[in-house]
Amino acid sequence: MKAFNLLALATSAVLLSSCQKTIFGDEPAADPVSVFEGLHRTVKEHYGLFRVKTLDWDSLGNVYRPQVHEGMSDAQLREMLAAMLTSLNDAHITLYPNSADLPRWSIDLVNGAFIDTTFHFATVKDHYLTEHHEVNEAVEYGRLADGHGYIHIRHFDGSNNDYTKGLRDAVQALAGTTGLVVDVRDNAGGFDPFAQYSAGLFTGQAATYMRVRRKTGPGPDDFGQEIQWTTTPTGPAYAKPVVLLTGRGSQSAAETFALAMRTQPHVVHIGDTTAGAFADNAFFELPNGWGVTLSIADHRDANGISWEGRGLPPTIVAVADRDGLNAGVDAALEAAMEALP
Amino acid sequence: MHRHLLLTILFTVLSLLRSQAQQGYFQLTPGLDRLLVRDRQVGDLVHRADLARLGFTYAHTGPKGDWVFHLAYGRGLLAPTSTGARTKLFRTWNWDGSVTDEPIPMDRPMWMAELRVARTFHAGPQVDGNGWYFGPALGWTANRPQGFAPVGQMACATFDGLIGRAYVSGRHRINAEFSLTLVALMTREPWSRSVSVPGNMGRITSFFDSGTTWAAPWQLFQAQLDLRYAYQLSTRFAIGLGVHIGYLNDAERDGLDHPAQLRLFHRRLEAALTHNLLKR
Repeated sequence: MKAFNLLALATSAVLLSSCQKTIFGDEPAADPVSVFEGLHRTVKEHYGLFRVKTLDWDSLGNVYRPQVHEGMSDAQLREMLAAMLTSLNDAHITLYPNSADLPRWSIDLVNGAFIDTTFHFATVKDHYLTEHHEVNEAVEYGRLADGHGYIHIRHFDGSNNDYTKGLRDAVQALAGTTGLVVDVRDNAGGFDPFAQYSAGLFTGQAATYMRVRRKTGPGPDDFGQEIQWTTTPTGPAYAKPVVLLTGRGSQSAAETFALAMRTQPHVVHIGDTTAGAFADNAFFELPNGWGVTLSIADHRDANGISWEGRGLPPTIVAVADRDGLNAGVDAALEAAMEALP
Repeated sequence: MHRHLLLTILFTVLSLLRSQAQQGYFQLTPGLDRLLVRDRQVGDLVHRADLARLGFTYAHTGPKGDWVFHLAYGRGLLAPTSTGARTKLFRTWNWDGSVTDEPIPMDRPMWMAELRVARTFHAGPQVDGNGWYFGPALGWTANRPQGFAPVGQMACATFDGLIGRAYVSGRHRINAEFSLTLVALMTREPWSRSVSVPGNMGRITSFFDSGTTWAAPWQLFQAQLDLRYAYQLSTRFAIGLGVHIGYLNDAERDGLDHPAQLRLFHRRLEAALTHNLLKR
């Protein structure tokens, strides 16, 4: 019984004491210099696009390091870190201050907000659609005044069912149309396999559309084997003419969707250049509790060309503007309708 | 994924093999689990979660030893110890030119699930339940953080060795048990943290397919200590208290595509309500 007493005493001591320091050591320092160094190291070890961006990250660190000092406010620190990250020209990099006052930062945000004056779904719905069906949070569809079909894919997140049933049913419902507009102008992306499945609903012939290499370690050349992404039919394919509409708001999985769609001869790409942020991204923490998302892979098209930072240009450029949209005119959608037979 | 499923099925079969017998006990164990975790693949911060937890145990007692089947579920907010719960500010531009600010919690609950089947053997002749015991155990644990930071996300199937000592005196019973993981099947996100796989639309199956590896004790070290006290209210019912301490360290590995170190430390206090199937 004496042994039990001793064990109970030891266990109680562990239960009641703060073991954090013993088990985990000291917390990282959270001063501005440590936060800067934490961000610089995290980007150096995990960022997957240095080769594409042809950027010397260590040199950039040397430029910005002297500007960091004790006593910087959070707002100043945010601005300084943002300035360094701007050099990477990557819309998949987002800095999240731990604050209810400081907005997130990304290269495509203006004072924390994404502003897109080239797409307004209310204009499409009120002035172009003769019928409208909202299938789920990701998919809605209808018929245009000229009889062509219209599918709006808002994102590639959510669940399998949104696509394997929702989008598939939408395509089936429009099977009798002579042409179709697939609109991803405000699609900020999601899960690439959902985009792959969705493209398969418009695929008549299998085609490789993307080559991906992911980071596998902290070294600059630590990348895994190349993974080929192929689009294959995932249902009765819609084989009549299709217009893919993209815009600056088409990002990430919406762009890999565009890569897949462009492999099909019956698809025409119209609209504006996409955002230019194809690679998967992941969230990392900084020593002060802020967060940052980084591109952790190198995504290229089937020919090995990277469109990161540039965006995928459409075959036919057509961009709506705010005044037109307010007046009920969507110039990009009208160009798409004209391109269909 | 399939390997984890096979092990889970094995747990169930092992427990069902003995569940016909009307000799043993059922036990409910509500408790509070304080989890500390540092996942260096996400960052250097230590996170803490106070998990409200409910456990269920069925034990079949036999002349040579016991079969013990245990499952538990817990849930609690996970946030860095240095900052507490965090907020991020989402600013949305509206078509009329206005902006809407929405502070959103960066940290959300973590849930954990646990399964364990243990086969224990008496180490020698027992007198009134007193004595040493030992045996193997199969365990399965999953942690799923739901916040922005996937700190501590893992699933781990383990084969453990355990040794314990029971002391019974009148209506009082004390158990002390120590277990050590001998080999594990560990699943974490790979170094890239991406589980996006062509043709695989299941995020969970992708997680298991992308980051599951066998781990030896020098790669994954896990030790657990349980100390329990029970007071026999009647021939059928007992109440009690238990404390549990657990430590897991998934170490750095040589070679590529293994995530950086993950370290977890549990301290748990739980009550116990026991119903005996056979009069003691």
